Amino acid sequence: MNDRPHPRAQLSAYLDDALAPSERSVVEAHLGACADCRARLAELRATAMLIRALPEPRPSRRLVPHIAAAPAWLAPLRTLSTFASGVSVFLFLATALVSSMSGSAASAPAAAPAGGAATVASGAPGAFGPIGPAADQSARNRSSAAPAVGAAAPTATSLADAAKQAGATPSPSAQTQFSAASASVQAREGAPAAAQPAQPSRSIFVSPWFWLAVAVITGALAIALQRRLRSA
Amino acid sequence: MKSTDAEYGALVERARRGDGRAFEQLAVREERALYRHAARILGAGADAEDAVQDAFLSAWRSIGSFEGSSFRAWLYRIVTNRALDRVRARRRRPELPLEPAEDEAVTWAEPVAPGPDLADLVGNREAVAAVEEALRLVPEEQRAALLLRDVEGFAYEEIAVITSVEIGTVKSRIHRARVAVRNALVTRGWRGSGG
Repeated sequence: MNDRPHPRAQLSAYLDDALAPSERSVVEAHLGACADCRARLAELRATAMLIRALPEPRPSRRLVPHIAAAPAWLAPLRTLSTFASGVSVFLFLATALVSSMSGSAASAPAAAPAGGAATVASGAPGAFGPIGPAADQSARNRSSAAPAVGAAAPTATSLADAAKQAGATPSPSAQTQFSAASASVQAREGAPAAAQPAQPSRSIFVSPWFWLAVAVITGALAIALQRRLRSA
Repeated sequence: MKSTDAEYGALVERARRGDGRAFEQLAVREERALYRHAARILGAGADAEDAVQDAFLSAWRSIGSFEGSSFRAWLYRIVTNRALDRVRARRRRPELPLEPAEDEAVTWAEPVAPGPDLADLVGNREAVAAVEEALRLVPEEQRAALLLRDVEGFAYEEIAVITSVEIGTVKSRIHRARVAVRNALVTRGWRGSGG
């Protein structure tokens, strides 16, 4: 047996059970008689074991690409809501301007749009909680600043409603940006001339706050949809 | 295990019909193992991560052409090719594969001194470093074949398909790579038991 050549080149395949039956029996017969080949086989087995037991490297980030297709209606809806948001901002400014021109020059309600916008802006990040107290605070500020306490009360109520509507939007950060932007625009353009006596009979579509709320909601929706589309 | 296999097969079928979510689920299942494989060929890091990410994108683009029996082997084929391409691109001077025709010509190092048993070295930090170092020095085609066998657990026939070579070449590559690692350990004085 020992005069036969050592089947060293077959040892790995033998270890992996990858030899044809005839080759396998030849190697087996040789191993039975050759301590040197048995030692080499044991070394190869131990080597394979060590390689298998190596510590596993981990990726530092997600390697699976986002390939799941976004629903077909997502992109048009994003465009639509972006457009709607822009239109609403325009209508917000237009209605605010119109109401300020048609109103009297009373100083108490004049502060209303600007103060209200600030309320929405400050109340927005904290979701529902801070809106109530903030609205109260602005109402109190106004009533202390203006002698016309009676006119301030209903305005404060409608402000609280608008704030609530705005607070119901899904994306606080987007909403904050929007509100803050609108508020500053309002403060620059509308506020000095703004004069809107409380007129409960007016349609809601003429209220600047309605359009501000619509602008915030559709704006937040557009941003959320854009994010979803970009991740897909 | 059987229900997992059936689930896996169903995901493959859905992915093949263009279901991106099903493909993502499959990719998530194989992500770590594929990265491990790429990292052992390329070295851990951004290059290996990019290779796996590229491979996933490429697999998704050509999923319609997948008709084999093993989706996992198909993914390994793409990742192995990507990783080997990157290793070759990294080298300034492309080398010709130096594979002697005869496996009998493989050199077996002789132990310098009797040391600890190789089988007792699992988890030994010095041994881990020695094995990693030895693997790095093995030519990449041989290294890929050895890893597919010893780490990823593929059979020789599957490795032949994954690396697009004859089964005789697979056998030769695995043997050379394993003997090279064994030599690195044996020259440090470690030995196999049973001798």
